[in-house]
Amino acid sequence: MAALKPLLDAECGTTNPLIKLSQFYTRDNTLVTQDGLIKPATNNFTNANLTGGSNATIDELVNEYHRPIAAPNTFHLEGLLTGLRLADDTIDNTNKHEYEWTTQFLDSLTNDFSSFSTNTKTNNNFSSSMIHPLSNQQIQTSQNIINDFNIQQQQSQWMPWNEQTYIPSTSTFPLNSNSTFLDQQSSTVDTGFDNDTVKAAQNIFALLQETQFAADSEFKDFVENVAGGIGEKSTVDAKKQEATGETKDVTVDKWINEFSNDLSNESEWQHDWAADAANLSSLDDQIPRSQSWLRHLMDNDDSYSEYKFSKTNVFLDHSNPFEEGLKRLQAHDIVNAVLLFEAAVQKQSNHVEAWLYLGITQSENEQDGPAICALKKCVELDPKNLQAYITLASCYANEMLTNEALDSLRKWLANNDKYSHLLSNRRSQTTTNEPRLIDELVFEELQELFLQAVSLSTNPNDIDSDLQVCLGVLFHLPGDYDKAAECFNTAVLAKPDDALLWNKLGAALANGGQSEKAVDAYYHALTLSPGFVRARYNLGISCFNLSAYKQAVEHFLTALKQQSDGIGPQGTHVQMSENIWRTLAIAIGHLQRPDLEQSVGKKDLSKLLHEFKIE
Amino acid sequence: MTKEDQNSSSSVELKAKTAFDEINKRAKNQPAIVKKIGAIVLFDITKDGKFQQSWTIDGKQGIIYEGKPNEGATAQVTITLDDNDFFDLALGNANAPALFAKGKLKVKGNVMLAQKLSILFKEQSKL
Repeated sequence: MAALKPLLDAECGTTNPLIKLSQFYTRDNTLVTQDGLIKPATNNFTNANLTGGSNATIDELVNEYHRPIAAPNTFHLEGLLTGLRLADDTIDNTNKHEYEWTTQFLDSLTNDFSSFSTNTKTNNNFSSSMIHPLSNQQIQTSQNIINDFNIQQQQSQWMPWNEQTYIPSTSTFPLNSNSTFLDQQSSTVDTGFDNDTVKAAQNIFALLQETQFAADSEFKDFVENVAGGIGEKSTVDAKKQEATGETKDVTVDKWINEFSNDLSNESEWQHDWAADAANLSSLDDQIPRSQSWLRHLMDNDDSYSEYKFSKTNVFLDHSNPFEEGLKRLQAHDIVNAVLLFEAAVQKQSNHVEAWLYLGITQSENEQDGPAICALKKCVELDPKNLQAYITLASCYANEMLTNEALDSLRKWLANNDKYSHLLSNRRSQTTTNEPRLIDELVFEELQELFLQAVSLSTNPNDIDSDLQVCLGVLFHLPGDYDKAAECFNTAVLAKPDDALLWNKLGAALANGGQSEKAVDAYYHALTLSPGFVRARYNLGISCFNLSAYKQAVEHFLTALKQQSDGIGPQGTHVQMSENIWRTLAIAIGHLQRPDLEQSVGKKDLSKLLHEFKIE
Repeated sequence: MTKEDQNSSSSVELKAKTAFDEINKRAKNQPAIVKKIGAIVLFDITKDGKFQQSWTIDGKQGIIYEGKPNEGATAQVTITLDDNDFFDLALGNANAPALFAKGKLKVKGNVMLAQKLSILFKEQSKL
């Protein structure tokens, strides 16, 4: 019996190994049925997990939202800790919640095994199918629960799209993974719990004693400790933050003050905590919280307000530059397309499409600065231009302007007839009109909205590739590159001939450290669009990361050459990308050729091209 | 260079010092890069579990210096990690989310701000 226990017993929040095994089996079947339409054109992404995974992912997403939250088994830990936290609060609903979670906990224990496993099956599909660093941990049965949970919570800082967030949060169990924003450290400061918490813990402990559920786990120890009046308060704090994260600033403030006052000892932890609280309440020097975000936006506004046109543009006198621009774009002649669109807007400054295409092509031309300028002009003229918003989001993401990127994504959603209703539904919960102060709140909210949007499509073959791109950009922002890559991959499945999508996929893979796969994606992009400067630049970067410095240099030089070909052979005012020159310099540095470094410094392109034999 | 270091920091040689020197070099080539971070980030470097030295990346002023944030500046993110791990991070051999998941990197404060640091460590591929 004891030997079988690890096999059959489920740890809190995970599923038992036998059920897991059966999951793999059933999952495979899912893959097969969708096979015909999902298999990509080329074979380099036949990593079943990547493709099938994302579809099963979407499937699961849909199921998540349609399935009622029956068994709160997966909520165990949160419920308990929430209960602990709530018991700790001086807020009125203490008693109510205490009973609520106790009941729930008891209920969950008596739930039948199959419902438990079906719920967690969903969860584990993510952990098993995706490139998930913690998947191993979850499969080990001896893993202690607290660690698991803590890591999940902490890990979710970097990968917010973890299983728990798929389950729509109820008011009792705020599931946002923002838990440890303010204090990530699970410090082992022994601060006392007050009576309510201790009582609650004693309750749990009693229950635990009766069941074999968490028999020898550290969780039990933890509860024991809490019951005894000591323990890691930080975990509780984490939940505390989580709970109040969703409510208005006032509550957060109140809670911070409350909390600072509650602490009775003078540990370093408390000092740090208070410092953080101070930080939170004065984010940007002395600027009131609600305006710091706005100011950040305004600061950046200046650099992107006026588009700087090329000094020499041979196409300025062209009769119909816009049309010609489109043609050049079709022919993948990005650089000339840029010039033509510039001419088009100079001819007619309210030409929405021209600004849009100027933005898009400049972005492809590895010039995000001008791209942002152009796109901003476009949305000024046409505030409902979805393509502009989605391109803006990518550009802002590249420039590390997180707030602006989130803002663009939100606007895409708000102006999208298919999904705008999701935003208006949400509006009733919180006032979303005022600018949000902290990135993470906006991020969490947007994440939920986008996931809801994805779940709207009941047909798994109907992939809204734009939506997937938005989701991908969203995940890219906090550095969740694996998930971003999954989304872009899904988008690519729907539109395998879109070079931009292949490039995005490559970039997400590369930033996540998967350079070889990235190279593959870039080759797809470049095959489809040989003049795609950005893809070539990215390819160079990946070669660099793989230590293929000579190849990297060659790619950078090719990219620069393409850019300089855009203007006549004299090319004194060539609009080449600073990024590419800079990275070229670094790459050449690795080649140990001081003579070349001089040429780079002088931007002597022809000499370098000659040196590396590039026509 | 080393003699000075041994006077200012504790008598332990930190790889982080070399790394930060490299980062500063890179920042000089690209003046706007530190400002892109836009926030004040404090790095607490430890070795064998013991705190060794701090470095501040002031994304508002666009400067990087040894020690805690100067007067009037408060760190919006504090990152604590071991000297070796930081070196890997700075070389681009490790990435912050992975270190974080392994529990090697601790963050206090706005996590999304911390993410922006990657531009200092390696070339970002563009979406």
